[in-house]
Amino acid sequence: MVSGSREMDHMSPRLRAFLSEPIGEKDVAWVDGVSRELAINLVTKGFNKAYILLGQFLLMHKNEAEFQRWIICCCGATEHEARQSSTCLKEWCACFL
Amino acid sequence: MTTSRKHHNFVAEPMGEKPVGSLAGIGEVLGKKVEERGFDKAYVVLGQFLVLKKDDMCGANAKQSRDCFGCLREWCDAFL
Repeated sequence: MVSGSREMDHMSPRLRAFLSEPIGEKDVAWVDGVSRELAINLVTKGFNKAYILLGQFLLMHKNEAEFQRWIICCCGATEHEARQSSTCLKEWCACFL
Repeated sequence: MTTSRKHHNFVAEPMGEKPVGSLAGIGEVLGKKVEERGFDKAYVVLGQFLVLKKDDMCGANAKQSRDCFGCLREWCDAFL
């Protein structure tokens, strides 16, 4: 069976899609872990694009725990959504930053 | 308007963990001030730029702001 790297095999299709190309002007809903409900909350707070959420992650020095606390407390994310979205952004940074 | 070598160097590659002083428009004096405020890496300044929706920067004089803003915008065009 032909497959990519071991890490890629464990990625969700959504994460793989997000990492397969530059972020550009993608809506925040493209970020892995961002449900429709969370996307609505994020857009309401001005985080309508994925790059803006990335900006928040970078402002927090790519600290996943801090980012997760923020997105849970300020945006109503669940713990699962917080973990998935921080992982997604961390992986993006590893690939593109 | 010509762009500096610093600008060209910065937009030529991913920024990784480059210090804030590697950004065009941010010299030694401003670099120290910016670092003291927690912006120790270029990517943290990028974060601020993105949260501002790639709009104008604040806290620097006009030319520094333009140079830094231009540098980050071009980096985003290439890598974001």
